[in-house]
Amino acid sequence: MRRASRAWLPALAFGFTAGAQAAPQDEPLAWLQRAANAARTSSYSGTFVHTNGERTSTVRIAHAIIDGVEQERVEPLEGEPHEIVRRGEDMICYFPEAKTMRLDKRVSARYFPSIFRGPPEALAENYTLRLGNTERMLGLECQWIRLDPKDALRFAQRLCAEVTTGLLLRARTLNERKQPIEQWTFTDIKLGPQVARSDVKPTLQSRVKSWITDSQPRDEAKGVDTGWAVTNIPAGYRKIGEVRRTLPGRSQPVSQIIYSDGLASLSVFVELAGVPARPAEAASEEGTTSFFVRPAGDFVVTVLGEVPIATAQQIGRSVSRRP
Amino acid sequence: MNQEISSLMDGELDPHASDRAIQSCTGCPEGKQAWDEYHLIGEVMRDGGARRFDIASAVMAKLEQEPTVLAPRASRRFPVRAQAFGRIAFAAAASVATIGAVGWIATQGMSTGSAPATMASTGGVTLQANVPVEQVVLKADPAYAAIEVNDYLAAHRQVPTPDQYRTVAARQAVRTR
Repeated sequence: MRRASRAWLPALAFGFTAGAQAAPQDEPLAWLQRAANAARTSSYSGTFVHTNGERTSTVRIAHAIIDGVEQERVEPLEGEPHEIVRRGEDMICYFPEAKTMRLDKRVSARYFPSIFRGPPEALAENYTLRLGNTERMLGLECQWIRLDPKDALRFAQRLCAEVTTGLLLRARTLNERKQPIEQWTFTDIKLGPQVARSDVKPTLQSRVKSWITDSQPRDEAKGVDTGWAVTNIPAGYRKIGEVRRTLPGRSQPVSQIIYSDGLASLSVFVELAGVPARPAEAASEEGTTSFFVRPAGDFVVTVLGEVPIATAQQIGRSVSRRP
Repeated sequence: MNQEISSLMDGELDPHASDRAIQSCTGCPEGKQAWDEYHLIGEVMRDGGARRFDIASAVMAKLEQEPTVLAPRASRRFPVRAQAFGRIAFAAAASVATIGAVGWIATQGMSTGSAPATMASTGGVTLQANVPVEQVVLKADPAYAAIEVNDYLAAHRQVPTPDQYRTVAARQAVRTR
Protein backbone atom coordinates (compact mmCIF):
# COMPACT_ATOMS: atom_id res chain seq x y z
CA MET A 1 0.00 0.00 0.00
CA ARG A 2 2.94 2.31 0.73
CA ARG A 3 4.06 1.76 -2.83
CA ALA A 4 0.65 2.68 -4.16
CA SER A 5 0.51 5.97 -2.30
CA ARG A 6 3.88 6.98 -3.71
CA ALA A 7 2.66 6.11 -7.18
CA TRP A 8 -0.39 8.19 -6.54
CA LEU A 9 1.43 11.54 -6.83
CA PRO A 10 1.89 11.32 -10.59
CA ALA A 11 -1.70 10.10 -10.79
CA LEU A 12 -2.93 13.34 -9.26
CA ALA A 13 -0.71 15.33 -11.57
CA PHE A 14 -2.12 13.41 -14.55
CA GLY A 15 -5.64 13.98 -13.29
CA PHE A 16 -5.24 17.73 -13.15
CA THR A 17 -3.37 18.16 -16.39
CA ALA A 18 -5.58 15.85 -18.41
CA GLY A 19 -8.72 17.19 -16.80
CA ALA A 20 -9.55 13.66 -15.71
CA GLN A 21 -11.44 13.12 -12.51
CA ALA A 22 -8.96 12.77 -9.65
CA ALA A 23 -10.07 9.82 -7.54
CA PRO A 24 -9.86 9.45 -3.80
CA GLN A 25 -7.65 6.48 -3.23
CA ASP A 26 -10.24 4.42 -1.39
CA GLU A 27 -13.29 5.01 -3.58
CA PRO A 28 -13.99 2.06 -5.95
CA LEU A 29 -16.47 3.97 -8.11
CA ALA A 30 -13.89 6.71 -8.70
CA TRP A 31 -11.45 4.04 -9.83
CA LEU A 32 -14.03 2.71 -12.30
CA GLN A 33 -14.57 6.21 -13.63
CA ARG A 34 -10.83 6.65 -14.11
CA ALA A 35 -10.62 3.27 -15.88
CA ALA A 36 -13.50 4.15 -18.22
CA ASN A 37 -12.04 7.58 -18.84
CA ALA A 38 -8.54 6.25 -19.53
CA ALA A 39 -9.85 3.68 -22.02
CA ARG A 40 -11.65 6.43 -23.93
CA THR A 41 -9.26 9.37 -23.70
CA SER A 42 -5.70 8.07 -23.22
CA SER A 43 -3.17 6.63 -25.65
CA TYR A 44 -2.14 3.02 -25.28
CA SER A 45 -0.87 0.22 -27.45
CA GLY A 46 -0.07 -3.36 -26.65
CA THR A 47 -0.93 -7.03 -26.95
CA PHE A 48 -3.48 -8.80 -24.80
CA VAL A 49 -4.41 -12.45 -24.34
CA HIS A 50 -8.11 -13.20 -24.12
CA THR A 51 -9.29 -16.48 -22.63
CA ASN A 52 -12.97 -17.39 -22.63
CA GLY A 53 -13.83 -20.86 -21.37
CA GLU A 54 -11.25 -23.13 -22.96
CA ARG A 55 -10.36 -20.88 -25.89
CA THR A 56 -7.55 -18.38 -26.06
CA SER A 57 -6.73 -15.69 -28.58
CA THR A 58 -4.12 -12.96 -28.81
CA VAL A 59 -4.96 -9.47 -30.03
CA ARG A 60 -2.84 -6.41 -30.78
CA ILE A 61 -4.56 -3.13 -29.96
CA ALA A 62 -3.63 0.54 -30.27
CA HIS A 63 -5.68 3.54 -29.18
CA ALA A 64 -5.00 7.26 -29.47
CA ILE A 65 -6.71 10.62 -29.74
CA ILE A 66 -5.66 12.29 -32.98
CA ASP A 67 -6.94 15.76 -33.82
CA GLY A 68 -9.49 15.34 -31.07
CA VAL A 69 -10.90 12.11 -32.52
CA GLU A 70 -10.70 8.69 -30.86
CA GLN A 71 -8.81 6.24 -33.08
CA GLU A 72 -8.27 2.54 -32.55
CA ARG A 73 -6.67 -0.37 -34.37
CA VAL A 74 -7.48 -3.98 -33.46
CA GLU A 75 -5.63 -6.91 -34.99
CA PRO A 76 -6.27 -10.53 -33.95
CA LEU A 77 -2.90 -12.29 -34.26
CA GLU A 78 -4.16 -15.76 -35.13
CA GLY A 79 -5.87 -17.13 -38.20
CA GLU A 80 -6.17 -15.30 -41.49
CA PRO A 81 -4.88 -11.71 -41.30
CA HIS A 82 -7.56 -9.11 -40.70
CA GLU A 83 -7.86 -5.88 -38.78
CA ILE A 84 -10.44 -3.36 -37.61
CA VAL A 85 -9.65 0.33 -37.64
CA ARG A 86 -12.00 2.74 -35.88
CA ARG A 87 -12.13 6.51 -36.16
CA GLY A 88 -14.75 7.98 -33.82
CA GLU A 89 -17.73 5.68 -34.31
CA ASP A 90 -16.77 4.68 -37.88
CA MET A 91 -15.21 1.27 -38.32
CA ILE A 92 -13.40 -0.19 -41.33
CA CYS A 93 -12.77 -3.93 -41.26
CA TYR A 94 -10.03 -5.13 -43.66
CA PHE A 95 -9.83 -8.72 -44.86
CA PRO A 96 -7.10 -8.99 -47.54
CA GLU A 97 -7.79 -12.64 -48.39
CA ALA A 98 -11.16 -11.68 -49.93
CA LYS A 99 -9.88 -8.21 -50.94
CA THR A 100 -12.87 -6.89 -49.06
CA MET A 101 -13.25 -4.06 -46.60
CA ARG A 102 -16.45 -3.54 -44.66
CA LEU A 103 -17.59 -0.13 -43.52
CA ASP A 104 -19.53 -0.23 -40.28
CA LYS A 105 -20.54 1.98 -37.37
CA ARG A 106 -19.88 1.00 -33.78
CA VAL A 107 -22.99 -0.38 -32.11
CA SER A 108 -21.93 -3.24 -29.82
CA ALA A 109 -18.18 -3.52 -30.58
CA ARG A 110 -15.96 -3.09 -27.49
CA TYR A 111 -12.39 -4.28 -27.13
CA PHE A 112 -10.40 -4.63 -23.94
CA PRO A 113 -9.48 -2.42 -22.07
CA SER A 114 -12.49 -0.38 -23.23
CA ILE A 115 -15.09 -2.66 -21.65
CA PHE A 116 -17.54 -0.12 -20.24
CA ARG A 117 -20.81 0.75 -21.98
CA GLY A 118 -22.09 3.98 -20.53
CA PRO A 119 -21.15 5.78 -17.32
CA PRO A 120 -19.80 3.52 -14.51
CA GLU A 121 -22.13 5.17 -11.95
CA ALA A 122 -24.90 2.82 -13.11
CA LEU A 123 -22.74 -0.18 -12.17
CA ALA A 124 -23.07 0.64 -8.46
CA GLU A 125 -26.79 -0.18 -8.71
CA ASN A 126 -26.14 -3.74 -9.86
CA TYR A 127 -22.74 -4.58 -8.37
CA THR A 128 -21.23 -4.21 -4.92
CA LEU A 129 -17.99 -2.33 -5.50
CA ARG A 130 -14.87 -2.86 -3.40
CA LEU A 131 -11.18 -2.21 -3.76
CA GLY A 132 -8.89 -5.22 -3.69
CA ASN A 133 -5.11 -5.48 -3.39
CA THR A 134 -2.51 -3.58 -5.27
CA GLU A 135 -0.27 -5.66 -7.47
CA ARG A 136 2.66 -5.08 -9.80
CA MET A 137 2.19 -6.30 -13.37
CA LEU A 138 4.25 -5.54 -16.49
CA GLY A 139 6.42 -3.43 -14.18
CA LEU A 140 3.48 -1.17 -13.32
CA GLU A 141 1.64 -0.73 -10.04
CA CYS A 142 -2.02 -1.77 -10.36
CA GLN A 143 -5.13 -1.57 -8.20
CA TRP A 144 -7.70 -4.38 -8.21
CA ILE A 145 -11.37 -3.33 -8.25
CA ARG A 146 -13.92 -5.98 -7.27
CA LEU A 147 -17.46 -5.99 -8.66
CA ASP A 148 -19.77 -8.57 -7.10
CA PRO A 149 -23.27 -8.84 -8.56
CA LYS A 150 -26.25 -8.06 -6.34
CA ASP A 151 -28.32 -10.74 -8.15
CA ALA A 152 -27.83 -13.83 -10.33
CA LEU A 153 -28.35 -11.92 -13.59
CA ARG A 154 -24.69 -11.03 -14.17
CA PHE A 155 -21.20 -12.33 -13.40
CA ALA A 156 -18.66 -11.04 -10.87
CA GLN A 157 -15.84 -8.96 -12.35
CA ARG A 158 -12.30 -8.27 -11.17
CA LEU A 159 -10.62 -5.32 -12.87
CA CYS A 160 -7.02 -4.25 -12.40
CA ALA A 161 -6.22 -0.59 -13.12
CA GLU A 162 -2.76 0.89 -13.58
CA VAL A 163 -2.49 3.49 -10.81
CA THR A 164 -1.09 6.50 -12.67
CA THR A 165 -3.42 6.40 -15.69
CA GLY A 166 -6.32 4.27 -14.42
CA LEU A 167 -6.11 2.08 -17.56
CA LEU A 168 -7.13 -1.56 -17.08
CA LEU A 169 -4.26 -3.99 -17.60
CA ARG A 170 -6.20 -7.08 -16.62
CA ALA A 171 -9.84 -8.08 -16.24
CA ARG A 172 -11.39 -11.30 -15.10
CA THR A 173 -14.95 -12.60 -15.05
CA LEU A 174 -15.91 -15.15 -12.38
CA ASN A 175 -18.79 -17.60 -12.29
CA GLU A 176 -21.07 -18.04 -9.27
CA ARG A 177 -18.50 -20.36 -7.68
CA LYS A 178 -15.90 -17.61 -8.05
CA GLN A 179 -13.93 -19.52 -10.67
CA PRO A 180 -12.45 -17.46 -13.53
CA ILE A 181 -14.29 -18.17 -16.79
CA GLU A 182 -13.03 -15.27 -18.91
CA GLN A 183 -9.86 -13.20 -18.72
CA TRP A 184 -8.09 -10.43 -20.57
CA THR A 185 -4.50 -9.62 -19.76
CA PHE A 186 -1.97 -7.37 -21.45
CA THR A 187 1.34 -9.08 -22.13
CA ASP A 188 2.99 -5.82 -23.17
CA ILE A 189 1.79 -2.23 -23.00
CA LYS A 190 2.90 1.24 -24.03
CA LEU A 191 1.20 4.21 -22.41
CA GLY A 192 0.78 7.90 -23.27
CA PRO A 193 3.51 9.53 -25.34
CA GLN A 194 5.17 6.16 -26.06
CA VAL A 195 2.32 5.46 -28.50
CA ALA A 196 3.04 6.54 -32.09
CA ARG A 197 0.41 7.97 -34.41
CA SER A 198 1.24 5.22 -36.87
CA ASP A 199 0.19 2.59 -34.29
CA VAL A 200 -3.49 3.29 -34.97
CA LYS A 201 -3.21 3.39 -38.78
CA PRO A 202 -4.29 0.41 -40.90
CA THR A 203 -1.42 -1.94 -41.80
CA LEU A 204 -3.13 -4.34 -44.22
CA GLN A 205 -4.43 -1.69 -46.58
CA SER A 206 -1.38 -1.77 -48.84
CA ARG A 207 -1.61 -5.54 -49.38
CA VAL A 208 -4.49 -5.15 -51.83
CA LYS A 209 -4.49 -2.88 -54.89
CA SER A 210 -8.21 -2.46 -55.31
CA TRP A 211 -10.46 -3.26 -52.40
CA ILE A 212 -14.09 -4.32 -52.71
CA THR A 213 -15.98 -1.94 -50.44
CA ASP A 214 -19.02 -3.19 -48.59
CA SER A 215 -20.93 -0.26 -47.10
CA GLN A 216 -24.10 -2.16 -46.29
CA PRO A 217 -23.11 -2.82 -42.64
CA ARG A 218 -22.77 0.94 -42.11
CA ASP A 219 -26.27 1.57 -43.47
CA GLU A 220 -27.67 -1.21 -41.29
CA ALA A 221 -25.95 0.20 -38.19
CA LYS A 222 -28.03 3.37 -38.34
CA GLY A 223 -30.73 1.49 -36.48
CA VAL A 224 -34.40 0.77 -37.06
CA ASP A 225 -37.56 -0.13 -35.20
CA THR A 226 -37.50 -3.90 -35.68
CA GLY A 227 -41.07 -4.28 -34.43
CA TRP A 228 -39.88 -6.63 -31.66
CA ALA A 229 -39.79 -5.89 -27.95
CA VAL A 230 -38.53 -7.55 -24.77
CA THR A 231 -41.25 -7.28 -22.13
CA ASN A 232 -39.37 -8.75 -19.15
CA ILE A 233 -35.99 -7.01 -19.23
CA PRO A 234 -33.70 -8.24 -16.42
CA ALA A 235 -33.06 -5.63 -13.71
CA GLY A 236 -30.29 -3.17 -14.54
CA TYR A 237 -30.15 -3.92 -18.28
CA ARG A 238 -31.09 -1.30 -20.83
CA LYS A 239 -31.31 -1.23 -24.62
CA ILE A 240 -28.19 0.14 -26.31
CA GLY A 241 -28.99 -0.60 -29.94
CA GLU A 242 -31.61 -1.94 -32.35
CA VAL A 243 -30.67 -2.88 -35.92
CA ARG A 244 -31.52 -5.20 -38.78
CA ARG A 245 -28.45 -7.13 -40.00
CA THR A 246 -27.71 -9.18 -43.09
CA LEU A 247 -26.19 -12.50 -42.04
CA PRO A 248 -24.67 -15.10 -44.41
CA GLY A 249 -27.02 -17.73 -45.81
CA ARG A 250 -30.26 -15.89 -44.98
CA SER A 251 -32.62 -14.35 -47.50
CA GLN A 252 -34.10 -11.94 -44.95
CA PRO A 253 -32.24 -9.55 -42.61
CA VAL A 254 -32.13 -10.58 -38.94
CA SER A 255 -33.46 -8.22 -36.24
CA GLN A 256 -30.95 -7.57 -33.45
CA ILE A 257 -31.60 -5.74 -30.17
CA ILE A 258 -28.62 -5.21 -27.84
CA TYR A 259 -28.87 -4.81 -24.06
CA SER A 260 -26.21 -3.99 -21.47
CA ASP A 261 -25.93 -3.36 -17.72
CA GLY A 262 -22.91 -1.12 -18.31
CA LEU A 263 -20.45 -4.03 -18.41
CA ALA A 264 -22.19 -7.25 -19.47
CA SER A 265 -24.02 -7.24 -22.80
CA LEU A 266 -26.24 -9.53 -24.86
CA SER A 267 -27.93 -9.56 -28.24
CA VAL A 268 -31.45 -10.73 -29.02
CA PHE A 269 -31.91 -11.96 -32.60
CA VAL A 270 -35.28 -12.56 -34.24
CA GLU A 271 -35.64 -14.08 -37.71
CA LEU A 272 -37.96 -16.23 -39.78
CA ALA A 273 -37.69 -19.90 -38.79
CA GLY A 274 -35.76 -22.12 -41.19
CA VAL A 275 -36.98 -25.43 -42.56
CA PRO A 276 -37.37 -27.61 -40.60
CA ALA A 277 -38.45 -25.29 -37.79
CA ARG A 278 -37.06 -25.94 -34.31
CA PRO A 279 -39.62 -27.59 -32.10
CA ALA A 280 -38.21 -26.69 -28.63
CA GLU A 281 -36.00 -24.41 -26.58
CA ALA A 282 -32.27 -25.04 -26.24
CA ALA A 283 -29.52 -23.44 -24.20
CA SER A 284 -25.79 -23.76 -23.71
CA GLU A 285 -22.86 -21.92 -22.21
CA GLU A 286 -19.11 -21.81 -22.74
CA GLY A 287 -16.94 -19.50 -20.66
CA THR A 288 -19.06 -16.40 -20.17
CA THR A 289 -20.92 -16.84 -23.46
CA SER A 290 -24.51 -18.00 -23.07
CA PHE A 291 -26.62 -19.11 -26.01
CA PHE A 292 -30.38 -19.56 -25.88
CA VAL A 293 -32.76 -20.35 -28.74
CA ARG A 294 -36.55 -20.58 -28.75
CA PRO A 295 -39.18 -21.00 -31.48
CA ALA A 296 -41.81 -18.23 -31.58
CA GLY A 297 -44.49 -19.04 -34.13
CA ASP A 298 -43.03 -18.53 -37.61
CA PHE A 299 -39.93 -16.96 -36.03
CA VAL A 300 -36.89 -18.07 -34.05
CA VAL A 301 -35.58 -16.04 -31.11
CA THR A 302 -31.86 -16.40 -30.33
CA VAL A 303 -30.09 -14.76 -27.39
CA LEU A 304 -26.30 -14.63 -27.15
CA GLY A 305 -24.19 -12.70 -24.68
CA GLU A 306 -21.65 -12.62 -21.86
CA VAL A 307 -24.30 -13.20 -19.21
CA PRO A 308 -25.47 -16.13 -17.05
CA ILE A 309 -27.81 -18.48 -18.89
CA ALA A 310 -30.74 -17.39 -16.66
CA THR A 311 -30.46 -13.83 -18.00
CA ALA A 312 -30.44 -15.04 -21.61
CA GLN A 313 -33.46 -17.24 -20.89
CA GLN A 314 -35.45 -14.48 -19.18
CA ILE A 315 -34.92 -12.15 -22.12
CA GLY A 316 -35.44 -14.82 -24.78
CA ARG A 317 -38.74 -15.97 -23.30
CA SER A 318 -40.21 -12.48 -23.17
CA VAL A 319 -39.64 -11.40 -26.77
CA SER A 320 -42.85 -10.46 -28.53
CA ARG A 321 -44.18 -8.34 -31.39
CA ARG A 322 -44.49 -4.71 -30.40
CA PRO A 323 -48.21 -3.82 -30.30
CA MET B 1 8.46 -34.88 -20.19
CA ASN B 2 6.35 -34.69 -17.01
CA GLN B 3 9.32 -33.46 -15.00
CA GLU B 4 9.85 -30.77 -17.60
CA ILE B 5 6.21 -29.63 -17.42
CA SER B 6 6.30 -29.70 -13.66
CA SER B 7 9.42 -27.53 -13.55
CA LEU B 8 7.93 -25.19 -16.13
CA MET B 9 4.70 -24.69 -14.23
CA ASP B 10 6.60 -24.18 -10.98
CA GLY B 11 8.59 -21.43 -12.65
CA GLU B 12 11.90 -23.21 -12.07
CA LEU B 13 13.21 -22.96 -15.63
CA ASP B 14 15.23 -20.13 -17.10
CA PRO B 15 13.78 -18.44 -20.23
CA HIS B 16 15.78 -20.64 -22.62
CA ALA B 17 14.84 -23.88 -20.88
CA SER B 18 11.18 -22.91 -20.55
CA ASP B 19 11.11 -22.07 -24.24
CA ARG B 20 12.38 -25.57 -24.99
CA ALA B 21 9.90 -27.12 -22.56
CA ILE B 22 6.98 -25.25 -24.09
CA GLN B 23 8.07 -26.41 -27.53
CA SER B 24 8.24 -30.04 -26.48
CA CYS B 25 4.87 -29.76 -24.71
CA THR B 26 3.09 -28.36 -27.71
CA GLY B 27 5.12 -29.63 -30.64
CA CYS B 28 3.81 -33.20 -30.74
CA PRO B 29 0.65 -35.10 -29.66
CA GLU B 30 2.53 -36.93 -26.86
CA GLY B 31 3.73 -33.64 -25.43
CA LYS B 32 0.27 -32.12 -25.65
CA GLN B 33 -1.21 -35.16 -23.91
CA ALA B 34 1.37 -35.02 -21.13
CA TRP B 35 0.61 -31.32 -20.73
CA ASP B 36 -3.15 -31.94 -20.42
CA GLU B 37 -2.66 -34.92 -18.11
CA TYR B 38 -0.41 -32.90 -15.86
CA HIS B 39 -3.11 -30.33 -15.33
CA LEU B 40 -5.88 -32.88 -15.06
CA ILE B 41 -3.98 -34.78 -12.36
CA GLY B 42 -3.32 -31.53 -10.52
CA GLU B 43 -6.99 -30.66 -10.56
CA VAL B 44 -8.11 -34.09 -9.44
CA MET B 45 -5.66 -33.95 -6.53
CA ARG B 46 -6.89 -30.54 -5.49
CA ASP B 47 -10.62 -30.91 -6.00
CA GLY B 48 -11.26 -34.64 -6.19
CA GLY B 49 -12.77 -34.44 -9.68
CA ALA B 50 -12.31 -33.02 -13.14
CA ARG B 51 -14.43 -30.05 -14.06
CA ARG B 52 -15.09 -28.07 -17.19
CA PHE B 53 -12.54 -25.35 -16.62
CA ASP B 54 -9.79 -27.53 -15.18
CA ILE B 55 -7.09 -26.73 -17.64
CA ALA B 56 -8.24 -23.22 -18.39
CA SER B 57 -8.19 -22.24 -14.73
CA ALA B 58 -4.78 -23.80 -14.16
CA VAL B 59 -3.43 -21.89 -17.13
CA MET B 60 -5.15 -18.73 -15.94
CA ALA B 61 -3.59 -19.05 -12.51
CA LYS B 62 -0.18 -19.32 -14.13
CA LEU B 63 -0.96 -16.55 -16.55
CA GLU B 64 -1.47 -14.27 -13.60
CA GLN B 65 2.06 -14.93 -12.38
CA GLU B 66 3.93 -15.33 -15.65
CA PRO B 67 2.18 -13.56 -18.50
CA THR B 68 5.33 -13.26 -20.58
CA VAL B 69 6.07 -16.97 -20.46
CA LEU B 70 2.66 -18.03 -21.65
CA ALA B 71 2.32 -15.56 -24.49
CA PRO B 72 4.75 -17.38 -26.83
CA ARG B 73 3.08 -20.65 -25.95
CA ALA B 74 -0.22 -19.33 -27.24
CA SER B 75 1.30 -18.26 -30.52
CA ARG B 76 2.90 -21.66 -31.13
CA ARG B 77 -0.07 -23.69 -30.19
CA PHE B 78 -2.80 -21.94 -32.01
CA PRO B 79 -1.74 -21.97 -35.65
CA VAL B 80 -2.80 -25.61 -35.61
CA ARG B 81 -6.27 -24.67 -34.43
CA ALA B 82 -6.41 -21.75 -36.78
CA GLN B 83 -6.16 -24.14 -39.70
CA ALA B 84 -8.81 -26.39 -38.27
CA PHE B 85 -11.32 -23.61 -37.72
CA GLY B 86 -10.37 -21.29 -40.53
CA ARG B 87 -9.79 -18.44 -38.14
CA ILE B 88 -8.90 -18.43 -34.49
CA ALA B 89 -10.94 -15.41 -33.58
CA PHE B 90 -14.02 -17.50 -34.11
CA ALA B 91 -12.80 -20.69 -32.56
CA ALA B 92 -14.73 -19.79 -29.43
CA ALA B 93 -17.84 -19.66 -31.53
CA ALA B 94 -17.27 -23.12 -32.90
CA SER B 95 -16.97 -24.43 -29.41
CA VAL B 96 -20.22 -22.78 -28.38
CA ALA B 97 -21.84 -24.24 -31.45
CA THR B 98 -20.90 -27.77 -30.52
CA ILE B 99 -22.32 -27.46 -27.06
CA GLY B 100 -25.32 -25.69 -28.48
CA ALA B 101 -26.02 -28.69 -30.65
CA VAL B 102 -25.69 -30.99 -27.68
CA GLY B 103 -28.10 -29.01 -25.58
CA TRP B 104 -30.43 -28.81 -28.52
CA ILE B 105 -30.60 -32.51 -29.15
CA ALA B 106 -30.96 -33.31 -25.47
CA THR B 107 -33.93 -30.97 -25.19
CA GLN B 108 -35.44 -32.27 -28.39
CA GLY B 109 -35.14 -35.84 -27.16
CA MET B 110 -36.91 -35.01 -23.93
CA SER B 111 -39.72 -33.17 -25.61
CA THR B 112 -40.62 -36.09 -27.86
CA GLY B 113 -40.37 -38.50 -24.96
CA SER B 114 -38.20 -40.84 -27.01
CA ALA B 115 -34.95 -40.00 -25.28
CA PRO B 116 -33.24 -42.64 -23.18
CA ALA B 117 -32.67 -41.78 -19.53
CA THR B 118 -28.98 -41.18 -20.09
CA MET B 119 -29.71 -38.48 -22.61
CA ALA B 120 -32.03 -36.65 -20.24
CA SER B 121 -29.38 -36.73 -17.58
CA THR B 122 -26.91 -35.05 -19.90
CA GLY B 123 -29.30 -32.20 -20.60
CA GLY B 124 -27.55 -30.09 -17.99
CA VAL B 125 -24.47 -30.11 -20.23
CA THR B 126 -21.06 -30.97 -18.99
CA LEU B 127 -18.58 -31.49 -21.79
CA GLN B 128 -17.40 -34.96 -20.83
CA ALA B 129 -20.82 -36.41 -20.18
CA ASN B 130 -21.99 -35.23 -23.54
CA VAL B 131 -19.31 -36.60 -25.79
CA PRO B 132 -21.34 -39.50 -27.25
CA VAL B 133 -24.41 -37.34 -27.83
CA GLU B 134 -22.28 -34.70 -29.48
CA GLN B 135 -20.95 -37.20 -31.99
CA VAL B 136 -24.45 -38.26 -32.97
CA VAL B 137 -25.46 -34.67 -33.54
CA LEU B 138 -22.43 -33.80 -35.59
CA LYS B 139 -22.95 -36.78 -37.87
CA ALA B 140 -26.54 -35.83 -38.42
CA ASP B 141 -25.87 -32.24 -39.43
CA PRO B 142 -22.28 -31.10 -39.11
CA ALA B 143 -22.29 -27.60 -40.58
CA TYR B 144 -25.66 -26.17 -39.62
CA ALA B 145 -25.24 -25.36 -35.93
CA ALA B 146 -21.61 -24.25 -36.28
CA ILE B 147 -22.30 -21.65 -38.94
CA GLU B 148 -25.34 -20.44 -37.09
CA VAL B 149 -23.66 -19.65 -33.76
CA ASN B 150 -20.63 -18.13 -35.48
CA ASP B 151 -22.88 -15.66 -37.23
CA TYR B 152 -24.68 -14.58 -34.06
CA LEU B 153 -21.42 -14.27 -32.15
CA ALA B 154 -19.88 -12.19 -34.94
CA ALA B 155 -22.94 -9.93 -35.07
CA HIS B 156 -22.96 -9.55 -31.28
CA ARG B 157 -19.26 -8.63 -31.08
CA GLN B 158 -19.41 -6.74 -34.38
CA VAL B 159 -16.41 -8.62 -35.72
CA PRO B 160 -17.25 -9.98 -39.19
CA THR B 161 -16.58 -13.62 -40.03
CA PRO B 162 -14.50 -14.56 -43.12
CA ASP B 163 -17.77 -15.83 -44.61
CA GLN B 164 -19.28 -12.38 -44.43
CA TYR B 165 -16.37 -10.86 -46.36
CA ARG B 166 -16.34 -13.71 -48.86
CA THR B 167 -20.07 -13.40 -49.54
CA VAL B 168 -19.55 -9.80 -50.56
CA ALA B 169 -16.50 -10.65 -52.66
CA ALA B 170 -18.44 -13.42 -54.45
CA ARG B 171 -21.37 -11.11 -55.15
CA GLN B 172 -18.97 -8.55 -56.61
CA ALA B 173 -17.32 -11.17 -58.82
CA VAL B 174 -20.69 -12.15 -60.30
CA ARG B 175 -21.56 -8.52 -60.97
CA THR B 176 -18.34 -7.71 -62.81
CA ARG B 177 -18.30 -10.89 -64.86
